[in-house]
Amino acid sequence: MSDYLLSDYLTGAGHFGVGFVAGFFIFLLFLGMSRKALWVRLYGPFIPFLLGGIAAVPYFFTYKLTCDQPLWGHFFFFYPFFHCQPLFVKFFGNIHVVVVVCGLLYVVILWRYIVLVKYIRRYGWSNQARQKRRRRHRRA
Amino acid sequence: MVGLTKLDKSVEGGIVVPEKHFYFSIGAAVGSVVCAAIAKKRHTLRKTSHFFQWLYRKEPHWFLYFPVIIFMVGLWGLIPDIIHFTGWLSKDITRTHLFDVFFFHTTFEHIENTMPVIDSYLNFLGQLLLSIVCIGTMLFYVKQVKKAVIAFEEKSKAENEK
Repeated sequence: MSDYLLSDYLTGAGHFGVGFVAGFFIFLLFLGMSRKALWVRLYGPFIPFLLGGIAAVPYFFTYKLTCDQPLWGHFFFFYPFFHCQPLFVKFFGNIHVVVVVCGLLYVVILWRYIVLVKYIRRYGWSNQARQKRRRRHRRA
Repeated sequence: MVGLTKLDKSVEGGIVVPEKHFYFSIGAAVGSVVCAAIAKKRHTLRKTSHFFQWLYRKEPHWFLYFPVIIFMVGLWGLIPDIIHFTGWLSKDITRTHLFDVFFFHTTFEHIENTMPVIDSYLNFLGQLLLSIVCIGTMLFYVKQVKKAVIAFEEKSKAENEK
């Protein structure tokens, strides 16, 4: 990758990428905690967008691209903290990496939706719990 | 870097990142319109077109994969950049008027170089369009899941009554 793609701070896209990835892992955590809850599968995938959006909000309002950021930025997913962290800047400072990572995670989200729609059209949702119980019963 | 604003950055000729999402988002918006048109006419097309009959036979849930069309149409706007990124043609050639076919690529590149303020507005518009398309697609699936749950419950109720 050429050097001109990298900078010493995160741009709006970089902050969105950090928030998006963190949101995706939070979604996976929720999914692991309550697999039977349909609302987690339905609305959980919005968490990455929500967190990514919140993380990028200060970029639209702070017109300085330097490392001295206002303290209120911490309310927006620790904006000043991530803004100049070398590790995050190295990874998310490259727009191509952000696009590829967020794009792939979005594909995973859509794929999960497609599988869910197909499953529910075939078996319904309430049946899933019953089937799992039956399987456990058979194993026992 | 001290005190450098976003506008100054774009004036300096995009030293940070080339912002290409505007072309892609135009393509994604056009792709969404195409998908909406197909969604409206897909039942009619099933009766008249052999291709759609074949599609329904192969995969009854084929329409769920519509984001592929959005991506493909979006990619159309990035073709000139892909061409000069891979070294097939130089930037001078990919900025001739012929390349306006790719969602007015040459015109927007000219705007990017000469009018940074308008370019920043266009990029913001691109981000907005892309967000609307992404979240709209997800809302479509949420609606489909809800529809499927209701349809399945009604079906199982009817079976129980029999």
